Amino acid sequence: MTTAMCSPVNVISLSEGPLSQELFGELWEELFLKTGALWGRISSGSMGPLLRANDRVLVERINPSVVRFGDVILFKSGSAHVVHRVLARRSMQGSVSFLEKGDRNPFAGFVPASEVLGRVRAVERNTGTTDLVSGRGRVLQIVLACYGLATLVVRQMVRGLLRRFGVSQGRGLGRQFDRLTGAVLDVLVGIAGGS
Amino acid sequence: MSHKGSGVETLYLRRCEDFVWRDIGGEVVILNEEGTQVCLLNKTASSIWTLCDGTKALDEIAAQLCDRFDVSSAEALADVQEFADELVGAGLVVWSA
Repeated sequence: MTTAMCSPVNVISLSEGPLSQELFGELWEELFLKTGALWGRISSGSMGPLLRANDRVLVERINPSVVRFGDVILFKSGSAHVVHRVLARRSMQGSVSFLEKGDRNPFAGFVPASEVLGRVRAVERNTGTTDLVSGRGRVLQIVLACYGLATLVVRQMVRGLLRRFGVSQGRGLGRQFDRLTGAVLDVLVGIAGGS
Repeated sequence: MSHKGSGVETLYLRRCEDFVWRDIGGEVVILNEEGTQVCLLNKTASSIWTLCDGTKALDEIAAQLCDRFDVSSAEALADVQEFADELVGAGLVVWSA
């Protein structure tokens, strides 16, 4: 398994309390598997600006075979629950995995289909609820996935070119690239009315 | 609520199946059906909760508590009654025939 999980990851937070997030996660997952669909709360910004910290998301249990390009899937990374976007599907020697990435994260990783727990169906914040799997929400998901894939490719190409010409990459360039791609992301989601 | 031996139908306490819960070192944590609220039970309440399996009446639960904790049967029955009322009121436990 190749998993390059980036930090911060989106962890579904269930409740604020003295108990560990791990225990809440365990209970939430059991309830989710039992009911087939459950609301959870986003606790980090790696899927921003579409999904922000404190947004509520409706997660539905699905068969990994129906996961589509651009869907936001729920899977486990260690004991944490992560929601990231699917950018590609890979089938190798009979086992399927998905290329997943947080919209704000610079890097991506692969998650085996067997570890996919569900898909984010809708997001709710004080401005209302947005359906993410059909209509306008689905179009936005595809746009964001295309953009995420493009930034990954460009990043790799720039890195390759710099290496080829012996230019030291430095941290500053990467940070500027991330700032630029983040700004474009904000504009994209803003235009689509998802923020 | 227990009417065992009185010719009236005996009622048993049964945990509601919509909730998920864990026993963590003798203390029970319950998550509600919407996944939004967590209920923490102390050790005595946790013992009562784990005995609410739908096969025991109040007096049977109280008798088992007497064995576990150093309390009189009257005290145990009062505790169980009080806790059962709270749990039923919160929708966590139901009476079943």
